[in-house]
Amino acid sequence: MSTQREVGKTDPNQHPRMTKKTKKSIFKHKHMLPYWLILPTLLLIGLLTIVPLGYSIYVSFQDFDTFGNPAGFTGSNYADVLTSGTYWNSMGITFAYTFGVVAIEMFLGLVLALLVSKDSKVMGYLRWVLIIPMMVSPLVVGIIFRLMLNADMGIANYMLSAIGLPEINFLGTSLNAFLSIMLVDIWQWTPMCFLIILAGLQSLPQDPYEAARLDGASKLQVLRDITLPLLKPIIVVALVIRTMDALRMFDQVFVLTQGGPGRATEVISFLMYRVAMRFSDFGYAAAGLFILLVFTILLSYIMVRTLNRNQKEGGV
Amino acid sequence: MKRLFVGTCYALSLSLVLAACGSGDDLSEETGAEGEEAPDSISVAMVAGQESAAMRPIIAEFEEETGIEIEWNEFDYDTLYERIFNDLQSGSGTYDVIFADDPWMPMFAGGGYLTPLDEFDYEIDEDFMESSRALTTWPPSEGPRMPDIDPEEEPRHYGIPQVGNVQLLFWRKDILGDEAPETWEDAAAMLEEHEDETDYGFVPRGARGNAVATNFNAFMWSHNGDFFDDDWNVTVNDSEVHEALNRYTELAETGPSGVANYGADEVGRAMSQGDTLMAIVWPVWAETMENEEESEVVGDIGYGLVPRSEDGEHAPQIGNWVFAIPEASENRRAAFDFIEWASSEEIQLQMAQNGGLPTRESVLLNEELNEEMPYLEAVHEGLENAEIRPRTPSYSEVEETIGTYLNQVVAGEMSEEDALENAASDIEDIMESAGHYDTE
Amino acid sequence: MENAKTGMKAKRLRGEIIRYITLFGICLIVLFPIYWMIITSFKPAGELFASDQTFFPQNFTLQYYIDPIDGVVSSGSPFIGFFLNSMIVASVSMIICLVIGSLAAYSLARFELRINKNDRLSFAILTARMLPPIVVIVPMYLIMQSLGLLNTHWAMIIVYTGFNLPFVVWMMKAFFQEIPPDLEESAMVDGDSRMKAFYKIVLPLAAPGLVATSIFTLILTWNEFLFAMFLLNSADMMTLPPGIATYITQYETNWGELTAAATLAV
Repeated sequence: MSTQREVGKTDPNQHPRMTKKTKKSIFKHKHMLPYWLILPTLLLIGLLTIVPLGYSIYVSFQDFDTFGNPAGFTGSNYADVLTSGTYWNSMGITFAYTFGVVAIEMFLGLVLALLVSKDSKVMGYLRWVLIIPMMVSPLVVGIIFRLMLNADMGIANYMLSAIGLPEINFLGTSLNAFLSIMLVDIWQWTPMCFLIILAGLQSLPQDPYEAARLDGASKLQVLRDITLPLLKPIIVVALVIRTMDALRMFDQVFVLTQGGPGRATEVISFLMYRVAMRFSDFGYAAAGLFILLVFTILLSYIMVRTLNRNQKEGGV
Repeated sequence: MKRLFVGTCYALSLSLVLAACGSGDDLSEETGAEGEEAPDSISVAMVAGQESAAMRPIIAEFEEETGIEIEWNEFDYDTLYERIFNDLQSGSGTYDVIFADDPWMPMFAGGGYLTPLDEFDYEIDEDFMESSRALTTWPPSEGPRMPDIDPEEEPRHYGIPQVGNVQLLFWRKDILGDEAPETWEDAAAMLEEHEDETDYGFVPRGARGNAVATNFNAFMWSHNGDFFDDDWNVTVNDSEVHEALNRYTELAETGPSGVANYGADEVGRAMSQGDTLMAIVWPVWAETMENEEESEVVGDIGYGLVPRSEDGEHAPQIGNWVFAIPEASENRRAAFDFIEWASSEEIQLQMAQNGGLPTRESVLLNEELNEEMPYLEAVHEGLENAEIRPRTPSYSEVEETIGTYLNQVVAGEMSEEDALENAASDIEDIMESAGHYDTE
Repeated sequence: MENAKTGMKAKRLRGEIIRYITLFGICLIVLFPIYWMIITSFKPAGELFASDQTFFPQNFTLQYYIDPIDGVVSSGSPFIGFFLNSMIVASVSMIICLVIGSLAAYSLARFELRINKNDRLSFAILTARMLPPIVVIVPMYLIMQSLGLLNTHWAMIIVYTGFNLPFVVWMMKAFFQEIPPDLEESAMVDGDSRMKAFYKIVLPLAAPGLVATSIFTLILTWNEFLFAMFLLNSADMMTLPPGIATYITQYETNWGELTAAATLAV
């Protein structure tokens, strides 16, 4: 063990990405091992993604009668979706919501992770406390907030008025309902960003920090020049995963507002859930969700590419 | 991108192979389980809540009598619909008995997914309330049929009504007096007179979709308005409906500020906390109102008919639950025996004693029962006057549409005129594209 | 010199105090809804929406914890059964996920696979998580039906494993990439096989990542609602979230029972 660790230390400035060359030269001609390693994953994901996805695309070109029976092929589902004001309204809400919550959650998650990154007993307990919200089922979270945010009988307004602040009609007006949904999401999912970033912080190599301390760099400089660049792969993962999850968010809206008031919180998954499960228009719903999927893939692809490219430039 | 594609195809083909292997087994299984002899068990899809709680303790009797075990599967309301519909549509026959809310019936029966009960030579008992009986038929036995349905077709019964739910007016009789307001005008006058005695006057159920639409139906119908005329032309922008909406928003102003997100639960709580003079509430809440532990208003609540307009009829909305048998069930005979047993007078009486709402007139008017449960008389009166939602499989979409616009009115974000005009044109589109105007 | 040092110390101390106060405040915000949930489960229903809200139940009741045992609740949910079902499904799928997911992640992090040029394969794996569940739910039902797995725990385990795999692969890949490859290489020079080096050296170093990832998969599985609802059609197979959902009925929400169940579930 000890000799191996030393090998790592002999080259303190080594960045993960830079090892790519050595790696290539040594393992290029190795047997099929890497393929065997990845095969089970591909099989499962193939079964659970590609087949359903293929089926959905097939469905999206089908017409359905009132009773949910397929009634021939049609291209009009996509045209209907793309020309529907309701659909684009929901798209707008979904993306506004996603950008809002992801930005805030990533920022708060990073700040929190830095605040508790020091190793001590208290911090160890704090970490557990901070990830509690994530452990509660989103359904239950929605319900608890519904109880607390009730404009007339809830504890939130009771506390506001107790300290002399005006009461807020949390779920009763369009803007407030939208912000309340965001608030619930931020409460529940900041811990996820926090935990991912914290795990990243903990497995960072220590050497660059020692070098920086010797150079007398300020905390902010260390953060900007060492921590953030090193954390980038982890941050990308957190960012992409959160974005994807936020884009398909469903539970909070389902429990808290049912998309109301009006259509103010009717995110895409909720709209399409109603269309498919209630109105039995599976073709329309499949088309609408497929378009969302295309947007999601594009967005994540751009995110991954941009951030990875920056990192390569910065890292080398 | 090409590599991605190759990888995709690779995984796709593998998973298809897997799926193909699996489906082979399935066939042999299915053919083995045919037959109409008495099964060991039948499976029931049930809604969670009071309906189930009132019936669950009694099913053991059936199990003892027949030796057939009942698998009692409870789901929440939305999930129940999805599970049943998915099961019916895929024809997998998972459930032998389903418990359906009445607006689902046109969808289930109209889609040919249910077993008509005349196959068991069943004739529905006249003891069931007339409005409840009407709900179980398809094509509709009363009211106009949609243009795409054969007007001559003989209606058949597809289920037995089991739970006699109907909208009631709850009011504070200790403040407003023992008599229910006869008309909306009376109600408004009462509310004004006693304005300062509680926090809120009338609490509307203003949440989006089903909630506000259901709440408003009682106003619309009692003002002689409706969704459709006899030829299924959309009429929600008629002057009667405008008048009804006007009345509704006027009363809603006496309610709490957050009503645009009030569902049945919030309305019931507001009532049981003693903050409220009057509301349209489901009868199951009566038990809560009379429960010392949960209520501030024990003995203070009157239960009665939802008011009418000056020149209209009382029109509370019916919301019954119906037992039905999927066409794909393999134990239809046993399923039928079960629902016939469950809806018998004796069992409905037991169910009512457990806090359930019966559909049989003899049980609703049972004197002993009425002493314990003062609201049953009001339920009976409600069912006698009840109005049924339009009998079309597209109703849930229609309801969602009008419920969205009405919700915006309640939130103060849309004018009444705009809401009804928009609703009318959207509903017309829905009916048009569903093909209900196509006559064959 | 001395002064500067104490000055530094004071400054650092002040920093620490601010840090702890901030963290304390954050913890309050984080914990309050949880606290409210727990408190609600001990309050008699009459107090829930009373015009005078109290931060502690005035009449403490255990009713909502005891009732489900006697079966006198509005919902017939056998809570313990749900709990066990959730345990089985969540833990088995987590283990499978971690095992096959880390292998794949290691492969992607360390080897230049020909099918993974420019990380394309990694990205393709990720797309599995982008699918809105509603898209896959009906086809998934059909697949499970044809495999004869409908209404079994295996169906849930397969689905949850598949849907958390992309997440596990990406997380673990990022962690593996942080570990310098020289470590395993030198172990291999010493005669270990690659798998042994992976097991002996890489996995222990990636432990924080493994822990974080397993927590996530466990939580996501524990709380999943939609698939559980669709693929399980009988009460004795059901997991917790659909069970908890039965406390929200069409007419009213049984707050006490619901929050009691939710408290136990956490």
